[in-house]
Formats: sequence, structure tokens, C-alpha cells
Amino acid sequence: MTTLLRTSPAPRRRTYSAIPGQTPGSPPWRVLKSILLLICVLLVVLPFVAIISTSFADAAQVNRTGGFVFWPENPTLESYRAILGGGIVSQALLVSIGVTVVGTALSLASSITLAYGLSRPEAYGQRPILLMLLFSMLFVPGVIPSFLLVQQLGLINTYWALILPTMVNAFNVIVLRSFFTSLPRELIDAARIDGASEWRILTRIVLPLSKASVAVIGLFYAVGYWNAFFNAMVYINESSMWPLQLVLRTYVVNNAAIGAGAAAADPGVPLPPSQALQSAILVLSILPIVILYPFLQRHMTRGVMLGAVKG
Amino acid sequence: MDMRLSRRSVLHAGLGIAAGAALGGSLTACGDGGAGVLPPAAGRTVLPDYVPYTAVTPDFPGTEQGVLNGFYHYPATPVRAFPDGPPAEGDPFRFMTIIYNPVPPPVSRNRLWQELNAYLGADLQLEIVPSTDYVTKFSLTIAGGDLPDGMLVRPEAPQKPGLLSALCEDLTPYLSGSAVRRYPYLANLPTMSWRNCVLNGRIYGVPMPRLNSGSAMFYRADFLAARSLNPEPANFAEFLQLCRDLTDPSQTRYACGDPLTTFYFVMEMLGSPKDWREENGRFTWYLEDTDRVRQGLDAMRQLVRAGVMHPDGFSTTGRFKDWFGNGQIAINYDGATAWNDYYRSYRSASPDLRVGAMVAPGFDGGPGVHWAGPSSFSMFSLKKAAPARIEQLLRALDALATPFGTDGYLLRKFGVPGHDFDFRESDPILNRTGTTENTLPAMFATDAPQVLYYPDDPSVVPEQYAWQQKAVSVLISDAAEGLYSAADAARGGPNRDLMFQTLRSYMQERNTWDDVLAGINRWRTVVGDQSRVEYEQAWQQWAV
Amino acid sequence: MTTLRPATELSNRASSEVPAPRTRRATRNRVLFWFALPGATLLFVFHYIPLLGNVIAFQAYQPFIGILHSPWSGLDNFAFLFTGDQAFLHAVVNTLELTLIQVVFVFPAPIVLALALHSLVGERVKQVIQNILYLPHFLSWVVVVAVFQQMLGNTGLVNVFLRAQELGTWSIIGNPDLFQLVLTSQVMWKDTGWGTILFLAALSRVDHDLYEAAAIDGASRWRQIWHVTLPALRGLVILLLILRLGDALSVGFEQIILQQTGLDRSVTEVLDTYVYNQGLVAGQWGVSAAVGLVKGMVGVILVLGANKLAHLLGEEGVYRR
Repeated sequence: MTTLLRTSPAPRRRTYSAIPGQTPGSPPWRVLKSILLLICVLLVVLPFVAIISTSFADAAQVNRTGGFVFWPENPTLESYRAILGGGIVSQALLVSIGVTVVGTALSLASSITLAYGLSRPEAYGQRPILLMLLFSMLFVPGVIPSFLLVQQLGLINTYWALILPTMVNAFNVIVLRSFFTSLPRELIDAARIDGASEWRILTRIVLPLSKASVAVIGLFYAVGYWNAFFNAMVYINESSMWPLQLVLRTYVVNNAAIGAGAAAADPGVPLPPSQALQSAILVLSILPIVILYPFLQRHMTRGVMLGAVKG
Repeated sequence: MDMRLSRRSVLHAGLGIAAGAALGGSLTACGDGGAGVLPPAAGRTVLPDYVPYTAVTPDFPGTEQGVLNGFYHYPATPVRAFPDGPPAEGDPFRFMTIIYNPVPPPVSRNRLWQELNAYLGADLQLEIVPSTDYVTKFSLTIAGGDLPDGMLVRPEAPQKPGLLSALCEDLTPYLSGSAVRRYPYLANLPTMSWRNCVLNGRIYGVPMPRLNSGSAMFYRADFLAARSLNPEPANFAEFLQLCRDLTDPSQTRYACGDPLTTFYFVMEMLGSPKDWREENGRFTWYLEDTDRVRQGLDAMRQLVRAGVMHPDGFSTTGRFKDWFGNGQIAINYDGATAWNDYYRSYRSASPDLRVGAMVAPGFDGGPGVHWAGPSSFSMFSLKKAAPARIEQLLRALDALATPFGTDGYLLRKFGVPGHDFDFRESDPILNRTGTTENTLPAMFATDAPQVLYYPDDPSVVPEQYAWQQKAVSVLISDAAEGLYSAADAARGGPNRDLMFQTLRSYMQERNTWDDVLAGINRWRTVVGDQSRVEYEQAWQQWAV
Repeated sequence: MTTLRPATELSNRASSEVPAPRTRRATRNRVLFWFALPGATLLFVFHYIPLLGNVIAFQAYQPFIGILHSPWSGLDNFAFLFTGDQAFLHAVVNTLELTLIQVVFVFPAPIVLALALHSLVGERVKQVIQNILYLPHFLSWVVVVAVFQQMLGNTGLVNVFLRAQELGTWSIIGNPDLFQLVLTSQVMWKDTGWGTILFLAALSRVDHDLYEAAAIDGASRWRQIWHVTLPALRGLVILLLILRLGDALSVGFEQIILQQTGLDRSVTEVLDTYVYNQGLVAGQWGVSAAVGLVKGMVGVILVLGANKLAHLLGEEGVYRR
């Protein structure tokens, strides 16, 4: 039986229909749907084209249009040079990648076991732990007590401070658990009768059948770690240990904040136009996710078709 | 001109302002507007002596009223500020401070920082906090109890008096009166900026001096010249006409951008006090002067109706600089230091750019007033420590305050020759490395007094100097500067914004004068009346 | 082994106890507890221990004095609830309105989009489209607001175009009547694509044989969606909806605070911006904690109530009865 379950999903590459077996929609509906999707795509693509173009635009053009440009007339890498010069951004990039990879792995490990432990109502302590998860989404601890705790644990100025406090996310665990509980109960019970241990059931039955949801939750965690700057601001005093988002924040937010006049540095820094700089920062900070996403996507959209398990 | 600023002359100037303000804004004739308001009593005796630095002679001498020294060029041979070697020694100095620029490379890859450490004689460990997060980080550091050796304390820090006396060193014995002379470059900081560092009659920090001529109404001199327009309107009507002449919606070109700062300028025309006005110990907020406010707001309505305001000005924040740089607006009210920034940021894109600045004329003719800015950005306080350590820290701060013309100033602002900048004649011109390294926020520990100097184009210095002279001659200061009110510190800022929103709606004719009055009354109930009482008490205590 | 039935059908029956050897069940149940323990411990340590710090909601807390020595202040920090301030009432009403709008319009948007994507012909096209649509999620609010302003502002692209055609100006940004519409479309633009990810994951588990079976029975396309596709999403949709209700009193703080200039506060103020704009939270940690507690209590009531309702309707909700 377990051998059956190990069968990987049969790749279904039929081009004429997305979902095998599904009746095709009527032609007008299909046209309407295509138009709608096209509009959605355009609404997103155009601003992004503008952002990418602006990141390569030169000062004169940005200045003339007074905002985003749709095509760089004299493409320049000036904005990227300004950001990457000095080496602090490349170092921060390494920090971010490290924290994201290690953090996501640890988060997934602890969340999968937690969600699995809560996936069956008869499990010991299931209900109180589940309520604990739920309430943790409703009551948020203050910044100061969290800081004091991390300080007491001696984690200030360590990368652990960027991982441990956010390692278990209640929302992700609850969603993952709901995916686990919707798996066919018969499979698991059958495996139990066969004498499989819980660990074996989790790794050989539940996880292979939950590739899609695990990939999604993994993505959620990875994006969470990648985008986080607040904990780094609070827990890391050494700017050489900052992750990317906190370093970039000093370009975006602060650049906008100047104007108080009293605060401006003297002599100031001749940066490329803020719009171009900001666009380049966006491109840099989104790029890794854009690269990562298609790899995860394979697991997310195709998933496991239970039909394939029948054998 | 003699740069010596005696306490007597400051006092005199301060009284001049107070007396002028008492006349309800007809201060305009008061030629000797001072560098700031100092309350008239013995509390002042705690302030450090002022011993101006005289080793470098400015091309344009500053004045005791607040005009800055102006220089065409950096001295060919910078003065060695510490001829006997680095001033400080001992354990690294952990300083927590704020940054408004991109964060600089860490010390291991930052020659400027390394050289600065060598210059001080001990390592400077900067804990850098992005400006928007400083309040949070400050509170957390206080709550955690592991304080750095020194940290920036914002003027509006909650419970400032209690906090300072509980955690920070009382620097009075080290700096008060003639004691400051042991730190010659701290003694060179203007008296008014020290005023912000005194609480309950004790000195709790070192200032970060800023020019007190505050903000300026900048205009695109190139636009005005192209249309032969007069950059010095004599009254509001002429200003309105100037705005009309500058506006051309078909080219997306408008006169003004930010409605709020334009309103400030109109209020300067009307001779309004800057924030708080003190009169016989009584404090009033400028928006409480309802007749003047109504006149100012109705003038704003005229500007809005005339279509000279940028149509997105009401719904935008933070884009006015860019609009000014790219010509969408021709007039912009901004911090006076922005003058050089405009050239630096926008000249490469629009080579014709010329910037000028005007001082508010009287609303119906004659002179207006000019609002002073804070004389110090914040104060830098030291953690309680043994006297020997405090002295070392003060020596380091002394070195961070070395003025224009010294080797220390050149190092802090421009970096290492050949690495961060190259000399053109005697003037340092930053290169790319320099622009990333010189954002080191040492200037948010303490700094030298500001000067007028722009190595890339020295010809702007005389223009700036002329504007400063004009602005300072009608300068008017916030009477509450340097005084502490717990209510204003906690709730003043946000409620001020709330009030401004009501004003913006009025300018757009979306509400009525009654709504504005209701807003002012609400401000009084929520924060104003309590702030008033606290400021008056602080004033009295200072006076005793 | 018997033919497996579709996941959805089974999930409803999952609560029925399946006979298992009684002796082993007790140990197994404890084994599951050990699975849950590491994650639960982390959550307890990093969430519930600092949560104790919320006692400062009843203190005049000052960081330099500390939690142990700050004076107690009773319910002072909750005073904002009872002032009867007109602005506060506006803020509460606006918050609830926005929550309602978002639950009705924003919440279903990713479901519809996911269904459309799911039924799309061509795997490659589907992936590319999805790849594009999730991108706006990664823009910060500062950027989203800037994008909208430069497209729809009075001097934005649309209006520059309209004026060039002599069609006048269509004031969108900065128009109080359209404020909620602008907010809602921003949220939809930013997060609809991203929101599809969970639903697509759920859809990936629909048994394709069911479509075949339904097709043989002569079910139309719409009936297939109604009877096969939607039931597969139902549990997840209800779960997410309940969790969303827990946040009923928080709507887009950063998004709104960025766009409050120029509009009357009676239109733009929501609960979070109210406490911020009143200066209630600046340096007043006790009030921050009090606000958090109030929102949490309301969240608990809404979540437990919605969960109960789900049970009455025969759904599982967040947890089983």
C-alpha cells in the first residue's frame, strides 16, 4: 500500500484542456475570461515596466517626467552603482539570504510537526494548543516585552534574533493543519493498521500528498524572512550585520524624510533621482523572489492528484 | 566683525524679540532681531561660555544675530585642531545615533571611519538607527537598560526630565561657565544651541548646532529671469501676481506645491509668531491668534482659487523637492540648507537651474518676519560614568565639533584625500567613494557651527549670505525653544497635524471658519492648555 | 485497498472515529503531542511570555522606570474608548465600513481569480500569468501609493491624457467621495494575485476524475464548478474568512496614514490612525497595549462567534467542536 502512495503524480501535459475531464466552457465565456485576465495582467505589468525602466533611466529623463518613465532613453546603471557601491548592500544581501534559508527550513520543520500534531482531534493536548495558536493571532505582544525577552536570552546582535521570534507563525500553522486534516482519513488509518509509525506516516504519506500546501507555506515563511526589517532594526545594533531590507530602508524612507532641512547632512550626497533609486531598490529586493518563485510554483499548482494514487 | 557673542548681547536681542512680539506682530521695524529668546534671569548662568574660534577668517563674516560665516574656499592648509595628537583614549565609544542618509559601509571597509577613529584616539562604535525608527529604538534601549556611552535624545522624548536625571550624566560641572574652555571646540558652539541642552537648570547633553535662520522660500531664479519677473514681491498682492505669472497648467507648471509651507510664508507676511509667543510670562500659540489666521487662510484661498497651487499638492507629501527640481513648481519653502542640495541633486538634469530665496514681505507692504529654526537638532547625552571616562567622551565630542578650516572638519565632511575626494585648488570635491562614506552620522552626535560654503560653485555663497542677512534682520524665534512640556512632547505633534488638516480643508473650501475655530478649541482641550501651563512653569523655573 | 474517495467528501467525515487498536491509540496520541511540542514551545516562549508585558495597559508605564516599578493607573489607558469624541466615532464607523467592504469585495477576489486561472488552458500560460500577478504584493505601501498617485493624480497620466483630449480633469486621488474606492482598489491591486496562491494549492488537490464523472452525468461547466471545484475550497475559504474577522478592527494603517493629507479626517480616520494621530501611542506604551487588548477582545468575540456559526452550518471552521 505504501508503495502505491509513493508513486509520483503522473505528469499531465495536455494543452487543449487545463483540467482533464472538465467540460470546456462556452466560447463567449472563454473570451470574456481571457479579456479579464488580460486586463489584470496589464494592470500589473505596466507599473512594473515603469518601475524597471525608471531604475535604468538617467537623471535628465526622470527629472523631465517628474516620476516614473516608461522607457529609458539613455539607459544607465547609475542607480544600481549608487546602491551597490561601498559594498554594504552586497554584504546585506548575503545576510538576508542566509537568514531566509535557515529560517525557512527551521520554520517549516517546526510548523509541519506542529500542524501534524494538531491534525487529529484525538491527539493529546490538541485543543488547548490549537486555541493557543488562534489567540496568538489576536493578541500581539508589545515591542518592549519582546525586546526584553530577546535581551534576557542573550540574542541581541545575533542572527538568531531574526529567526527565533518569528519562527512559528500561527496563521501558517493553522492553514497547514487544515490542509493536513483534509487528507483522506482512511489512508492514515490504513497505514496505522499496517504498523507504520507516526513519523513514517508524516514523511511517507502526509507530506507527499501535501507538497502544494507545504510549498505555499514555505513561500510564506521565506517571504516573511526576506521582507522583515523591524526585528533587525530592534535587535541588531551593528549595521554590518543588517539584512538587505533594513539597509535599503535607509535609502527609501530616509531619502523621503529629508526636507526637514535641519537634519540634512552637509555636505549632502548627490544621489541619483530618488525615483530612479527607489525603483532600482525595488528591482533588487524583488529579484530573488522572482527567481525563486517558478521553482516553488511547480509544486504549488500541480500538486498531487489523488486519482493517481489509486494505482 | 567681531564674532564674540556676549551673554548680555544675546539677552538684549532676546528681549528685543519679546518686546516686538508683544506688539502683536508689528515687530517688523525691529532691526536687531536676535539669535533667539533667552529668558531673563539667573537660570542662564549654567550655560557654557562662548569662545568663538578665530583661527580661520571668513570671506563673509557671520553676525551675533545668527548670520553664518561664509567661505569661498577651504583654507589651503587646514589648521591642525589637535597639534599634540589625538585628544581621546581608552575603551571604544559606543554612540547611538540617527541617520537620514543611506547607511555608510561598516568601519572595516570605510577609510573615513577608520581615519576618524585614529583622529579621535579611540574607536567610535556607532549604533546607527534609521530616522523613522529612532523613537522606537530609543525607548527599547532605555527599557533594556544596556545604554550606549552616548545617545541622541530627541527634544520631544517622553518624560525627558525624569529620564535624563535617572540615566544620564549631569554635565554641568564639566561644561558650565568657564569649565567648557577645556574643550575649545565645544566652547565655539553658539550659546543658543546650548539652551536646548539644559533641563531643570542642569546641562544634560551637547548640542548639534544648526543654522537658526530656519527655512527659506526658494524660487527658480532661472524661471523668473526668463520671464523678467521680480523676485522680491513687496506685498501679498504682488506675490499672488508673481504666482499667477509663473503658472502654466498646459506645461504642468505651477507656482507653489505644499499648501502648508506656503501658508507658513503667508503667516510670515502677516508677522505671525513662530509657534509659541511669550508675553509677560504668558504663552500663546500662533494659531490661537484667530484674526491673523483667518486673514492668512483667506489669502491661501485666493492662491488656490487662482490655480497657482499644484493640483496634487494637497494630496501629496514628500515630492515637493522633486517638483521644484524638475520645474513643476517654481517656488518651494524648504530648510535653508536645501540651497546646496538643489544644485547638487538637480543641476546635472537641468543645467540652467538657478536657485534664489526670498524673505517674506509685509502682507500689505513693508517688511514681514522670518521664522527661526531650532538652534540645535537634538542633544547628545552621556550615560552616567566615572569622571575620567566622561572627560574622555567629552574630548571625543570636542573633536567631532572641530570647525570649518580644521583638519577634523575636512575629514568628517569630506573624508580622506585621494580616496574620498580630490582637491580642486584647495577645495575638496567628493568622489563616489566619498559620497558613500561621508554619510557616517557623526554629525548627529555633535557638530561644528554651520557655514556657507559650496565648493562646487562658490558663486552661490554671496547670494546665500545676502539672503541670510535679510532673513536674520527680521528673525523671530519660538519662545518655547529649549523649554520642556510633557503634554506637548507626547501629544503636540500629532494634534498639530490634525489641526493642519483642518486648515488644508479650509483652503480648499471644504469646511467653514467655524470648523477651524472648533479645531483650535479642540487643540486647546486636548493638548494646548496643558502645554501652555507647562511652558509657563518651565519659563518661570528658568527665570528663578 | 479500496478506491479512494475525493478529499473533500472525506474531510467532512474525518471526525468520525475510525476504529484503531485501542491499546496503541493512547500512546499514539501522546506521540502526536511530542510532534507538536517544539513548535508550541517556541510560540509560547516568544509570544505568550512577552504577552504578559501587556499588564502595562493598566500602568503609567515608562521605559526608564520599568514594568515592575511603574505606577498602576487603573483604566486610564482605556479612556479613549469613553470620551465620546466625535473623531473617535468617525474612526470606528470608518473602520467597520472598510472591513465590510473588504470582506465583501476584496476577500472573494482571489478566489475568483484562482478559479479563472485554474480553468485556464495551457499550463505555461497559467504559470506566466500567475508569475506576474503576484508581483505587486512585494511593493511596500509607499510605492503602491506613489504608483496610484502618478497614474490617477490630478497631474497623473490619466488626467494629463484627459486634459490633452480636452476632456477636463477627473479628480480621483484627493477626492473624499472616492477615498474608500481608492483604498479598496489599492488593496485589490496589491494582494489579489498573491491571495490566489493558497486557493490554487487547494485546487491542485481536486480529483480530476470527479470532473469526468460529472461530465458523464451531463453536468455543465458551471455545475461542475459549483459541485466539484467550490466544495474543494469551502473549508479553506471559511477558515480564512474567520481569521480575517479576527482583524476586523485593523485596516491598512500604513496605507491610510500615507494618504491622509488633504482629506478631511472624518473620511479617512480609522481606529489605528486615530490612536496614532491623537498622540495616544507616541511614547505612551500603556495606551498602545490597551488598544491592543481591546482589539484582541473584539477579535476573540468575532472569531469564536463566527466559528460557532460555522459549526451550526456544519462546517469545521478553525477547530472542531
